Amino acid sequence: MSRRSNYLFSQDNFNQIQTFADYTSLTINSLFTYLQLLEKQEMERELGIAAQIQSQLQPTRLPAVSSISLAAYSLPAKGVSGDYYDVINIRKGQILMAVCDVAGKGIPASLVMVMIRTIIHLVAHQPGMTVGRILDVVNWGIAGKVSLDRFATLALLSYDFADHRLEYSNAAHHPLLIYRAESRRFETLDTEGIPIGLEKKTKYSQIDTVLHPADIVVLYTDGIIEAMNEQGSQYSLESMQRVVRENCDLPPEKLKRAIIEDLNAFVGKAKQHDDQTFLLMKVDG
Amino acid sequence: MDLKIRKHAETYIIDVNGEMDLYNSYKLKELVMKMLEKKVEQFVINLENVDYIDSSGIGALIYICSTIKKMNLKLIISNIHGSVKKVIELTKLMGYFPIAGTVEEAIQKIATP
Repeated sequence: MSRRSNYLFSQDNFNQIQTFADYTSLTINSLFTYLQLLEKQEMERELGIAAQIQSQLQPTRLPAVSSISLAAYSLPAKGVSGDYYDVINIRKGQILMAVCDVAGKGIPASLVMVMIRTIIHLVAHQPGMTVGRILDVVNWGIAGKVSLDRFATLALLSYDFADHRLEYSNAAHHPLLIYRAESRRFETLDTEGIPIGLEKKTKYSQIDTVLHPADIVVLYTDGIIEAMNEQGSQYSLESMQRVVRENCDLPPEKLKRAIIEDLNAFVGKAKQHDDQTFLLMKVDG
Repeated sequence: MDLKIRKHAETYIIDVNGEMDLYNSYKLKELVMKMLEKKVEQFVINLENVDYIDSSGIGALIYICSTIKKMNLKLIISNIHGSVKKVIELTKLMGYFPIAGTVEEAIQKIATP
C-alpha cells in the first residue's frame, strides 16, 4: 500500500467496500439458504416416495371371504409409518392378521416395519406354521440386526373358517379385543412374550378361542387409544369399546367409519404425534 | 426432560424429570454412554418424576439396560409408577428391567453382590 497522500483510502472508499462486502455476504447467505431449501425439497420428495412404497406394502384390498367381513384403517403421523397391518390368505380357509408398532417414527421405524413384513410373508405360508412359531421366526430374524431401541410390538392372529377357531400370539402388543355378540361383553386374549428384537431366543406361546356369529375382533395400535385432544386427555380404550358396542350391528366398514368419526370428534384440531391403525373382523351372522 | 446426576458412594443416580418421549429420550441414552466412557460402573435411573413414557422412551431404557448388561456393569431402575408402570407392564418388560421400589432399595441391591 502506498504511503503517498493521494493514494490513501478515503472514508468514501471504505464505505463503498463495506457496502460491497455486506452485499457479497448477503448473496452468499441467500445462496446457502437456497441450496438448503433444495436439499430439504429433495428429502421431502424422497420421504414422499418412501411413504408411497410403504402404502403399496399395506394390503390394498382386504381378502373377500364368505364367512367374515373385514375393515382396516391406518394413518401415519409423519408421512411414513412405524405401524404395520396385514391380512394374508395363508391357505384355503385360513387367514392371518397382523398388527405391529415399531418404536419411534419416520424412515427408521418404517425400515424395520418392512423387514418384519418381509419375514411374515416369507414364512406364513409354510406348512406347520402357527402364529406363535411365526413370531419366533420374526424375532429371530430381527434381534441383533437392528438397534434395540427400534423394538417392535407385534400381534398375530389366524382364523380358520371351517371350525371358527382363532389362534392368537402376542409379542407385547395390546391384548386382542373380542366383542362377544351373545353376551354383549368384551373379552381380551393375551399371551406372554417380550417385544420383537430384544432377545434372539425368545419363544412365543399362543392361545385360542372359538368365534361365534356376529362376534367382532379388534386389533389396534396405541395411536388410537392414546390419541390426544387439545385439553391433553386421551381417547381411551373405553371410548373405542363404547363405539364398537353402540354400532355392533353395522358391517365392519361402517363400524370403522363410526370409530374414525368418534375419534376425530374427540381430538378436534389437536395435532397427532403417533401413527394410528386398527383392524376389524366380524364373523358373518 | 431434565436430567440430574448425584452420587452415592460408587453409585451414580440419574434423576429423570419430565416426559420420556421421541423428542428427548436420546438425551438419557447419550448421558449414560458418556458416563460409561468415563468408567462409571454402577447406575440407578430414578423415574420418580416421570409421568409419561412412549415407545421411544422404553426403547432408550432397553438400549441402556442391554448395553450395561453386556458390559457386566450394574443398573437398577427405580420408582416406576403410574402410566410408566402401565406401559412397561403392557410391553411385558417388568421382568426384563432390573427394578427397585425406591432409590435407597436400588442402592442396597447394587451393593449386595
